[in-house]
Amino acid sequence: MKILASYNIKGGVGKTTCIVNLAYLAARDGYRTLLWDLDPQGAASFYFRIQPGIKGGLKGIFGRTRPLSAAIKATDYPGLDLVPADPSLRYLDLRLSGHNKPLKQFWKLIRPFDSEYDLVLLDCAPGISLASENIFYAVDALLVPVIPTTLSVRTLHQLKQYLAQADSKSPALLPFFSMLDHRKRLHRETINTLSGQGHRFLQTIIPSASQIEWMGVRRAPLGSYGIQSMAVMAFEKLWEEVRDRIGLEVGVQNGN
Amino acid sequence: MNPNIFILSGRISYRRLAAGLREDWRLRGQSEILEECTYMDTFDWRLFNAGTLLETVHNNKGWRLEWRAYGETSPQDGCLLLDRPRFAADIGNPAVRNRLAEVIGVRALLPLVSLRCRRRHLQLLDDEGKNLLTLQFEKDESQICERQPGNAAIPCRSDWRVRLMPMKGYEEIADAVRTRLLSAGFLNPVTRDPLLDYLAACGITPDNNRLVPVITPPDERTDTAIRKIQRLHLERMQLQEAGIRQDIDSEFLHEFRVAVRRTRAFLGQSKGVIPSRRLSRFKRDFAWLGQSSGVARDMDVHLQAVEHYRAILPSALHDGLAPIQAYLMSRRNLEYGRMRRVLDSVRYRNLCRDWNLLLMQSGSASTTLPHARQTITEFARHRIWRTFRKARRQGQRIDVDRDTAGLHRLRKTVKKLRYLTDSFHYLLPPQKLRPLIRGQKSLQEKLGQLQDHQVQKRRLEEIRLVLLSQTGVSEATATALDLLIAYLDEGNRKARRRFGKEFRQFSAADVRQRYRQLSRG
Repeated sequence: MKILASYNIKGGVGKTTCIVNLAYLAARDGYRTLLWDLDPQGAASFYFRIQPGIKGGLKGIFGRTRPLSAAIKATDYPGLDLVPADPSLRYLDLRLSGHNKPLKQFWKLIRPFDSEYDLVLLDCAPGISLASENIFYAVDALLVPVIPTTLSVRTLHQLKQYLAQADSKSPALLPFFSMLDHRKRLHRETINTLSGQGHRFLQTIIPSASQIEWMGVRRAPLGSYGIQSMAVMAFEKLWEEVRDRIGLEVGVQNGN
Repeated sequence: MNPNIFILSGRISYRRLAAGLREDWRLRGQSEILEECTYMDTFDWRLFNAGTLLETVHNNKGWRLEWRAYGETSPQDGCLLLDRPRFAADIGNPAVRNRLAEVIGVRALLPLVSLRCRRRHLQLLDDEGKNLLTLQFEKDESQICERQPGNAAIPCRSDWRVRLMPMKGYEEIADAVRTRLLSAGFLNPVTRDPLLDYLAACGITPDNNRLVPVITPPDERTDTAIRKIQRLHLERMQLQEAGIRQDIDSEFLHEFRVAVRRTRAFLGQSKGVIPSRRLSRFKRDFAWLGQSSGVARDMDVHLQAVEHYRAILPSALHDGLAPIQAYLMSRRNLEYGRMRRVLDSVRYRNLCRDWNLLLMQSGSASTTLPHARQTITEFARHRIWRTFRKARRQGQRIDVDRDTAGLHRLRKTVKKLRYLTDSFHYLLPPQKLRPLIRGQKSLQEKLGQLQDHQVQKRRLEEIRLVLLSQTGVSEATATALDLLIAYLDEGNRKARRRFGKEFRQFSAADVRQRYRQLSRG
């Protein structure tokens, strides 16, 4: 089982869009996938038409009175399950700090699913907090969408610095450019500058596209409508790249 | 009773049922489609024994694989396919392929029964448009038994079946719908998974490849009991014939050879039980069968070892394995052709007929054969003890570094000892027998490794010579062969070193004492 989180200190960079589409593509390729919506805004749950709310809230799950498995809901896509968002996620840090080993709580919750899922994806809320430290400890890799703008790139540097100074184990960083608008000179120049400086971004760039914005109306992952577009192809390519980087077996996909 | 599979009541239609549900839920219906579903399993029912059922489904959109837990209605796994797979390796989707391979290994998937059926789906949705439950309506059009000659068509049910397919996390919806439809009299429960009915209609019951072992009364005459045991071996042998002829799975030939070896082992024990003059012809003929099938089996084992070779060799040499694999495959095809001719031969037909006739006869009441009237329990105790002593003597005489023939002889004797304890285990106290069987298995495994390394090494040397004389050998293949031969040599050395310790444990004084006690009852 591999664990991957979509994360950025900054909000509005395309974290949820990215993880929702990757989760769909992973399940389509036969990987048993669990997506955990950790953002109290519940956008990932919304995309999958699953109502937010977990019986007993986080108190039940972190207090071990209700198993995490009881909160899992099947999506409409075979092989893809979801733990929906819950309003109590706003108090996640508070909940975690009450434990003896606050950094390992997520890892302890997810580890028992090893035989049930091939891939666990976490959709994280922005910011650096005890919850994000938990995620850094639990995951194999952090997928970091970066808009090619100054502020977004700055938060990537902040994240790198933070991880370099952290005492606990650091996950692999998989930054990639997101929401690229080819018409904007700043976007193009930022990408060129950063590529020239030898930063290790993933090759795939996710464009800013109205198709992606329409996901909110259709409430379904891009690939599920059966329409081919630049955005769909970009997510397919991103998935292949991520799959290779995290070491899921590659094979010929039949029939899709 | 399966809680999620039902028969639609005679007077109720799809429309009527949907109208009943529409009062409380949003519905999304799908139009009717025609699908052909083929249930598959390995010859030894690995999927069924793992509590699962696998089917390939073909419709106008293409192929898909559905794999579900027995008794469940929603597939736990599945993927799209290009065609019906024969092995797990034929499935393009890597994740599904690997999970299936964990259960069936290298065994072939055999079609059991095919159904053409009309299907339509009805989904219950919540206010967000999320699917909460799917109802699958299906009606069989035709049923074909894939394992009968000519794929015989069988009459099928004319009623509509309804499957409730609950979604994880929404099980309470399935409960509510079930209660509602049952109390309204729309559905009638079914007692078991319809697949079992389909199979039963074809005369197939899961696990019917596995023969029930012979359990004879402890005081039965030896000549009668031995005949019963040998009849089982004959049945087991003949059960594999179709699988070998059609080359369905290498396991058919393996099982065939095990049955032949067991027959020969018991023929060796039959002196003084069945008249010797009648035995010699069968000893010759079964030895011929064993030899005729040996190379084909060797090729199967070698081909299975190629994946292991790949793991041993550096990736730069993997291409060098291709000519080796191609040679093994072409030789295998040749040997299987030879084996089919053996099965079609007059000698084989006569052997089966005459052997069966002999086994059907009952022993004479006034026989003078010394062991024929002995009870089978006495016979079993005595023969196990005698064979153990023989193995012990053989092992003690072996110079492990030089005596390859001696090791081979010992391997055969230990195998015979295993067959005896296996066939007669029900006559002996299990608590005394269990540690002895463990010791036999352990020694047999070490001796088997030695034998495998030697045979594989010889075969690779032979391949090198054949390739040199025919097409030449590329540098990658030559290096791969050198490395593999060196690897097998090293494996052989290690196995020989381990043999000493293993044999000392097998033949220790306290173990001998246990065999002795077993022989005395």
